[in-house]
Amino acid sequence: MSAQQQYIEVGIAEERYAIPIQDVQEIIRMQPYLPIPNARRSILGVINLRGSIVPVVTPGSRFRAEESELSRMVIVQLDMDVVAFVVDRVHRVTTYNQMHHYEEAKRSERFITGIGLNEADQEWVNMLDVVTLLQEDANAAQ
Amino acid sequence: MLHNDQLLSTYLNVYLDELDEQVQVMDEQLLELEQYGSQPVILQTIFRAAHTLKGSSAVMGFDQIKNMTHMVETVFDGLRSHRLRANGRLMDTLFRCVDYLKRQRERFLQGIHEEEQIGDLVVLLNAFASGDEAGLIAPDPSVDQPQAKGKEQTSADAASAAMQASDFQEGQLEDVRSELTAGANVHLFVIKLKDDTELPAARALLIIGQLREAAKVLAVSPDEASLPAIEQGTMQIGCIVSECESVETLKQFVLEMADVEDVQCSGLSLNWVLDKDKQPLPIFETSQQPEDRPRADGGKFQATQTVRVDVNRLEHLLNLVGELVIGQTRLIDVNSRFRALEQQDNGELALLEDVTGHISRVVAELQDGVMKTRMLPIEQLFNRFPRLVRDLAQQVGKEVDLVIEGKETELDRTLIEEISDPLIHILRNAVDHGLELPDDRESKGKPRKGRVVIRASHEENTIVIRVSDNGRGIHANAIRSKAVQKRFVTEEQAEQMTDKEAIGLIFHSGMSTAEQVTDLSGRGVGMDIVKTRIEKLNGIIDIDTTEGDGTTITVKLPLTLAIIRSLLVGLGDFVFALPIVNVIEISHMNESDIKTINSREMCMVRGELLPFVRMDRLLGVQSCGAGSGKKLFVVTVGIGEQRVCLLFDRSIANQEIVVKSLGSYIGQVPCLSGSTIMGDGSIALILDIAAIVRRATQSQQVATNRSRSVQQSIRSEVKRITFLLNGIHYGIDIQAVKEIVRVPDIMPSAQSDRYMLGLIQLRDQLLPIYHLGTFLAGADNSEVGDDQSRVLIVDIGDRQSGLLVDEVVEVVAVTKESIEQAPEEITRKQRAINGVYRMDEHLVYQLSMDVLKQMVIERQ
Repeated sequence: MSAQQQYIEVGIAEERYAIPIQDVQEIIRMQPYLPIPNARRSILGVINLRGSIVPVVTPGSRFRAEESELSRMVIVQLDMDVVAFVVDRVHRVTTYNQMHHYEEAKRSERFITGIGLNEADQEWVNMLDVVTLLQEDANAAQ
Repeated sequence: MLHNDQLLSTYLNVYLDELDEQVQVMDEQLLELEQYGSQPVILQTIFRAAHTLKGSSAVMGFDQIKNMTHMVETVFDGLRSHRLRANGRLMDTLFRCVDYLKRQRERFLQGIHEEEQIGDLVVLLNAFASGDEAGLIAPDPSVDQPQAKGKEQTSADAASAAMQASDFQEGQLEDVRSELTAGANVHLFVIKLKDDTELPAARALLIIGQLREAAKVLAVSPDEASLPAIEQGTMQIGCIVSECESVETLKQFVLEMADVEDVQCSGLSLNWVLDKDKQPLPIFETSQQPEDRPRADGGKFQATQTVRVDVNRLEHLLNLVGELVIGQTRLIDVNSRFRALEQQDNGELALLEDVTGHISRVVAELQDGVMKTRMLPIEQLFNRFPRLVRDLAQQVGKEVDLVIEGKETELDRTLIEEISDPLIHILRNAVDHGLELPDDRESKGKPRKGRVVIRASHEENTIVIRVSDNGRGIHANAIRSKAVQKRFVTEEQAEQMTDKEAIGLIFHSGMSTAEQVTDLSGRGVGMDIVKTRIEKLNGIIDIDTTEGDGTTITVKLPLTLAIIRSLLVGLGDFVFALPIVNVIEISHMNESDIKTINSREMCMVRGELLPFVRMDRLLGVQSCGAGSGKKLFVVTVGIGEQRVCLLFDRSIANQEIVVKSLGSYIGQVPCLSGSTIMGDGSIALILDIAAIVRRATQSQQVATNRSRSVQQSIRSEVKRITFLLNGIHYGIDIQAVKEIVRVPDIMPSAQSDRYMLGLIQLRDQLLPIYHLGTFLAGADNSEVGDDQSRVLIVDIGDRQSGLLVDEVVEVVAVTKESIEQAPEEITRKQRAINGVYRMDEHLVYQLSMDVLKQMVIERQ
């Protein structure tokens, strides 16, 4: 596994997740969003991001961020849409020298691709394929 | 050099446009011809159209069309010179020719480049042209090849017929004219090369060169410059020569040249040159260069200069303009915020205002301009109608006068395509079902000729198209019985419907009232499709009919789909946008105007009972709550033929908005169709009126259909004000209470006691105020009212009085059946109580206002 791959490490509830840096367009502060009546549960609402309408999402109960003052929106570009993924904290941009891929984990939740270890502070993180996660959420709704 | 296929694809579009235009012209003019008889202008116009088509068809190599248009040209030449007379049979044949051309165009559009067999049309035309109508009765079916007949007609003037002056360039023709006026002998040589000639262009140049040596060549067609562009194939050269010694010798000379198949020769007169396109007869194939033919000068049909642009590019531009509009609204907003901060005059701020104003104007114009590029006059569509109506009228044996108004009304091109079918259907209905047969009309004292008016106009930001006829109108009862017969509704339901509701049933799928199914309409798949199509465009359809006098169908459509004018309304913290085309009326209502019928809320707007939707409940949004007595802000919206009233908190503005979708990630959200960004950068959601109306009416239909009678179900319900007195719930008929007010200052009076508390001032009147609790329970009036207390204003005797109660809880509708007799033990103690009913988890005692009044009067 290439050590060059950079990840953005974010915190949602108690857990840490690592998102490949190329999946992230930008990270912005939590903004007030407009809720959408009757929309599915994972969609908190929409924001106006420089003239485009961007959905604010927390896919699945596992990724339900708490919207504290530290909350951030991770802007992710999907095929057709730009989506704001809400996280509780953004820790850092980093690389991982040890990564374990669990086929087990992948089978149940395809968006967790493995577990990484950061040697500096001995923290374990979930490797998160955020694009798959969001796409699954979008597909589930259709 | 272009290869043939390339040539085809490059020029096919141009050709198709020309074909479309000319066919339209012919169609129109033929109708006029039929109506006004053989007027020179009409004949000339058709002649020109046929001629133009002949030319371009020949260039494209579409021989069938070329031959047919050629014959049409010949026939009109005959008509023009009074050699022939137009009659019904000829007209029908000519219309068939136009149909053939239309069919052919469709084929080309589908990518089929072969022409359909022309059949007997050319033979028929030929017979007309030669004045031999008798031969028409049994046209020889074996004569399928139109050229066969043409080739036999070689005449002395063959050459001048094969080529016309218009085939030559104007500059060269001037030489010819001057030569002719000088009295010289001028001849036209038409030289046809063999089909298998190699390098025909080179060969042609050689021939011309040799001719130049033998005589003075005045004009050549095609001209030498364009010759090299001509590829393999049949080729024909026209040469106008003078000063030759002997025509026959020259002809022989040319015939002896290599690759020459045939030579035609004729003397030319000045007439031939001046009257460019006269007297053509079929000889052999002409291959003309379009640029050699100066366009017919018929100014009426001259196309304006245009650039063809891909629709997607326009779409993109329109999107960008949309962004610009958003930016501009934000700029204005920022500007006004600065203005609010700065009190005194500030040079910089004035400058900003200047710039903002300027940009706003430019953006508005830009938006207008870009929108206009997508706009086309509805003429394009309306022009098809005269022919359609004529054919239909003939088929069903009716006489129809079609009046078209507002042809110049412009609308979005996508809309034009979309409304074409629905409109045609409505028109067919008008002619087929709406108008009566001429004899029937006469017997009813109407003119024999029926009248159908189709009118387009702009009304505010919408397009309105009205189709009205002066026929028999729609028979509400006929629809009722048909609907019952087809089991759409029960007999009972049908009886209860108002006429308007019954007529609305024609939008039900599978409904057709025509006694006979005709070729064109009456298969029962009509109006429901019309309705669906129009709803898809966010439009409205409305029927207005008077029995015996006719029907008017009104279709209302948004001007364009990308930028819409909308009504912004507030609901709690939300701002919602309603497309203005769907907004019918804004009104203020009282809570008491809302009736509950079969557990559905409805309200009366202009005599019509409409479903009433509380948007906060539908959308699950917190409304900022209308306090009791506050007027309700109600918007009546419509789609298709249906109307629904929606309750919001407040109106905000009427504004142009750019429609943005919510994106595929969010997908379809019930009741929302999109979003827009407002001036301050906030987002407003656009409501999907169609979905809301569908929801409201679906549940509604069940409700109304079930009810015995709308009026009666209103009567079986009563409204009760529920209030608290010493912890007990009481109900009182809302009709008896004039007003509910907070407790004002109570001025003690001489008569004050524990029943009568004193006087209160209401506006400019002094009223006595009674403590209701004392009357009912004999309770002490130790505490006279707190924040919750209210005074009910009622009439007692001949004056208004106030009744003090502890708290007004709610106003509810109670069905009469749910009110029970109060137990005797209670009524014995308190005669004012005349009933009891259950509300949520507590009992409510119903008070009789009459008894209460009695008690008060007794006290006095």
